[in-house]
Amino acid sequence: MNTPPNDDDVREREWQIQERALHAERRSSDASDGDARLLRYRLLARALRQPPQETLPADFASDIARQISTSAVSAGRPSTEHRLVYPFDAPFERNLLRVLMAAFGLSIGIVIGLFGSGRLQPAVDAILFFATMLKNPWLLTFVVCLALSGFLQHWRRQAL
Amino acid sequence: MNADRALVDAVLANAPGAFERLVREHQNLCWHIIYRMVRHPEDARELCQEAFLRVYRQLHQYRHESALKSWIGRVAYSIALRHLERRRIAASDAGAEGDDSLALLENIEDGVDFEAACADEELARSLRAAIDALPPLQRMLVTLYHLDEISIAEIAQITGLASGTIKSHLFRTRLQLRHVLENRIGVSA
Repeated sequence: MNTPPNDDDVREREWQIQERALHAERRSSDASDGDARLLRYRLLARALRQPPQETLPADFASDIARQISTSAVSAGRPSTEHRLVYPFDAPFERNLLRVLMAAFGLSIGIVIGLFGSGRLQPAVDAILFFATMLKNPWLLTFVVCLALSGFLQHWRRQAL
Repeated sequence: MNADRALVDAVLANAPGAFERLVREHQNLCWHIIYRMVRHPEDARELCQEAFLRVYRQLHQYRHESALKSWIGRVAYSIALRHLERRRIAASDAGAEGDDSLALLENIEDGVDFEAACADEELARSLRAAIDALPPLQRMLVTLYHLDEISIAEIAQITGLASGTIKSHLFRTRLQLRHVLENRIGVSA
């Protein structure tokens, strides 16, 4: 009496047909074999061998190589991937950033000039007050702990 | 391996054109891994760029213990996987396993006109759609195995998955796609 094949046998047989179809497609061998299951897997194998319609730009490799050769990395200076890929690496954005920083500094100078140092006295007083408070060692320890905790959280986020 | 070593040495020595050659040799693999996982073309292009920049920065850590192709593939895979995690997209469909595959195995199909089926545009379109609809990991695995002709052992090096897991994914995915094909052939018959 024949024993029925178990699941593993059935799966193994199916796997073998899948593999035969894959190799037949790789070899582009004759498809006149009448095994319907094999032919179906050959159709699948043919579809799976089609490259995606979307591709990388034709100049992708040269573009990456150019970015690297003009970046700080190739000069052995520390850098980050983002500085290489993203906008701040472009000369226009870098110059714009410089102009904005200069405008910011200039506007601070104008504000001080227009409103006089008298208006800024409360801010100066507040800074001096905190500086005096920090002479207390316990308070100083507390502030250092806060700063350390904030720094560690920031560092963990960067590491992730 | 010797070719890999020569290329890596040339890149590390900043030889002109070496890195461009490395990118050109491995960009298709990188693209297939990332694009098949991520599916969004713009995101995939940026991630591919990120992958090669990381390859450049970390190439000195490559120890020639595996083929350069597998090492670069692993970088691309980890970048694609991290992208999916950030977007909270599941890489694989864990619920797809089970008795479904057995039910599909029992299907008995009629003969098929192979040449006519190959020329059937509708059929090709539905197969492409079915492949696109696969979960990211399965989509990427069948692409590496069929299109890039990468062995299961090498895919294991790229993904860090066990060979048995990869084989199981391949088996179930192809069975599932065959089921799509059965339905499609049934419709057009």
